[in-house]
Amino acid sequence: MGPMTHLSDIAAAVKGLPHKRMAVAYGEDAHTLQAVQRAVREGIVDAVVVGSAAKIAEVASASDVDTSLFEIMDVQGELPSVKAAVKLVRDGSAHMLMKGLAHTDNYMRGILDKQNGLLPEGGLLSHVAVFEAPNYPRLIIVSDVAVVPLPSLQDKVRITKLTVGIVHSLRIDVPKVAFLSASESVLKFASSQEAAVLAGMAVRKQFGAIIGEGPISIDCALFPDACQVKGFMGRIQGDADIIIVPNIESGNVFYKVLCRFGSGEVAAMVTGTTAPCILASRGDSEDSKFYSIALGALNA
Amino acid sequence: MEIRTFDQLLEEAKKRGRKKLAVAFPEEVSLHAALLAHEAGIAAPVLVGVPDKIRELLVQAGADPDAFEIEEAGSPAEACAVAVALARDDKVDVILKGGAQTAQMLHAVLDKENGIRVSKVLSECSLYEDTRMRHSLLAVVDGGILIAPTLEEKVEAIRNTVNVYHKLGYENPKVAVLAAVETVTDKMPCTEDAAIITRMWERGQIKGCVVDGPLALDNAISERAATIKGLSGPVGGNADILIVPDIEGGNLLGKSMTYFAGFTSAHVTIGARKPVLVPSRADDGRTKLMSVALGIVAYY
Repeated sequence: MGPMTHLSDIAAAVKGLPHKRMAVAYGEDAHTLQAVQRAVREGIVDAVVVGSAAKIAEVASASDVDTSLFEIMDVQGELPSVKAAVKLVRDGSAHMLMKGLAHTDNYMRGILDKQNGLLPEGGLLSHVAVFEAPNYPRLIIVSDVAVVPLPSLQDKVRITKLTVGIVHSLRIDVPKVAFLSASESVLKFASSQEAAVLAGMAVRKQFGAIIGEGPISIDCALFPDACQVKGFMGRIQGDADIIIVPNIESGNVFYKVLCRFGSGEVAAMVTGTTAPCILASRGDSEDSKFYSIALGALNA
Repeated sequence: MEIRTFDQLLEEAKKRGRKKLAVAFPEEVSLHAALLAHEAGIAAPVLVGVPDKIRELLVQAGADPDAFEIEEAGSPAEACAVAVALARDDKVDVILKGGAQTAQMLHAVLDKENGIRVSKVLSECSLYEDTRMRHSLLAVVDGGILIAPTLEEKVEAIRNTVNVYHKLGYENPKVAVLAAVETVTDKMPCTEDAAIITRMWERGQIKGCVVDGPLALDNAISERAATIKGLSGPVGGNADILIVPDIEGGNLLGKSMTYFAGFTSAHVTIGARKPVLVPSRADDGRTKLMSVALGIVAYY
């Protein structure tokens, strides 16, 4: 089978695998329960929702969610629920984690907890987003648009490795990785020079089997005609699979502009953890949550 | 045709006719170099210093004290300034440092008002005649002037040296940016510089040559080593120009070639309007003569 080209391919691939069990941290809101219901019904995961059993039952009945589809673990309060959900994953009785009504900060704190969290010692917590843009022939995988605010060169090396690992699950065996900056020329600012260094590491096969190029701007990374117009002769000719963004600001802008102007759909998860962690927010579409769960299950 | 031996270099210099060679404050070492170049028919010395003292030195050297043009200067520093002024006015073609400090010589060359610098950076080009492995002229840059070159200085030094190689008949000299390893790591900053410089070459920001780096010395000059390590890049063990990380590296590499391998060397400072020669007391006669020849061929 060739590389996945649509987010629905992720869901299709997961359906053929043994079910993974997802722990939902503080799943006391309708959005979360509906996403869990859909994922279970479509055979993507089994789920255990952690939170107040009474509250979960109340929200479920008000929003047409069938609580018989998943297990409920009765825990009172946000922080204890996050802790309990993380523990389920740590103990191996769940394979992945999903954020419910918990605040992102509290959710992350649970993951990052040194004693009881899900980050290996010395590990880097990062994030990967997989985009499907209408009328675009490939999935576009971008990192890090959400977690590492000001990645150092060393962080970018690790972000690249984490992202390449996820991309292999999308059946992209030798990904083309664009180390993004504002221009193809090597200029004096940090993102440009770091991109050149990262491309140098890729050429020396320090990321394994990838084709790396940088510095490169987003047009040459994603659109062959831009390379033609610019006369750009690099190893990537508008056919990048992975975009490593220079910093969180540019990544976040790219992410949101693609979703809003480009009607893109996205699946996303936290990387660097011992098990996939889904960080969907209320602003994400239902499909996006569903595909994020599928991406997590595929990598669990 | 590429000049691949010093005999060819000398023949090439002879074709340019006798060039005027200003010697700034001659002493035995520089006078010897000037007389050798005169004998070989490539230079007409212009001796800048105290006339009586110069005549005395000529007599000691067994030369005719009245056979050479003399320009008066009372001190080494003044002699440097006079030599540079003669060069600026095109009254001499090559400058040879005599009994002045190297710093005094460079100071006069770099002087903002009266100096003759044309490139952004002055760099030393040291050529070694490889009579064992590849029978070619190998450059080491920079073992003499740039102490701890910045990325920008390295790029300028490459440009300076590539211009010399064009004059030596090399259409597309191969430049290896050296480090201790061929992988890129932030623990060795020179590997990062090398990766950046290589990307700059890929982008056409460094022209008229082929660049690869980081490369360890063996991968730069031995096809066999390059093949074993899978570094079939553009240089592939056939480097003409070796860019070293710093002056220590350049000095050690250069002197190793001179003393361990027995290669003859020639040295010229590039980046001024005229070639500037800074001989070492330890240079043998052939090195002194070939340095003058190199200065002439590199510029005329």
